[in-house]
Amino acid sequence: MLISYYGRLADSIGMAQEECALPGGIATAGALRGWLAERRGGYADLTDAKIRIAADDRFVEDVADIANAAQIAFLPPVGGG
Amino acid sequence: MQRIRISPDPIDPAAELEAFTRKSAGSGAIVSFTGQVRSSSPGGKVVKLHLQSHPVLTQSAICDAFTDSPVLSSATDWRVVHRTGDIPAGETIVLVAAAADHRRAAFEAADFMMDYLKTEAIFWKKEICEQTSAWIEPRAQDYADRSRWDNHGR
Repeated sequence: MLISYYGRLADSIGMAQEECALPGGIATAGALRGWLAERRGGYADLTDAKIRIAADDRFVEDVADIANAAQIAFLPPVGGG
Repeated sequence: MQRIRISPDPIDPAAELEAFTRKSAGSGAIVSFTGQVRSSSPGGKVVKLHLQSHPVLTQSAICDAFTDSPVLSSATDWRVVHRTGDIPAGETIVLVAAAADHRRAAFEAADFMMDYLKTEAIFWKKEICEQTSAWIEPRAQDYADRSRWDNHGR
């Protein structure tokens, strides 16, 4: 699964994208958010409820099943154009 | 011609407006707005803006919002050209243009498009100054401007 971090998240986490193999038991967007946030460093920012999640280019709620998604994006509040 | 173009390519506002004007021949009114990178900000002298978009959601969200908008339903045509990536101070970030039968509808369409782009469009914007850099979020004034359209036409 390809995970992308946009805006300030890429700065705090230190990368814009990474490839992750989900462990068993991580099946929803919210569970993925929580699992990543347990890592050290800037990943804790992912727990901010204002960070929206998109699975395969569609916005999803935390309860959504993302186990079969190819791409997940974490999107902080937009800055406007 | 696509109504929305999001790309890291530099924008030539005169050429964009000329093409739009030619396509809108016969419309009574054409209004355009060009936004540039300011050369100074509270953070100091601005070197560049870094504009990030999502490869799919940015364009589809603008398209949905504008296609459904009662403000834009009064326009005969409209255009959004938005630059992404690193944009040096003084260069064009965005151009919007609207055509309508009469001037008020064209002014309102361009005004509405910019208010949406400044607050809701899926862009992330980092201002890089000589000494500092910071991610920029919409100002209270931007949200107030956007909210003017909430009850438009009701």
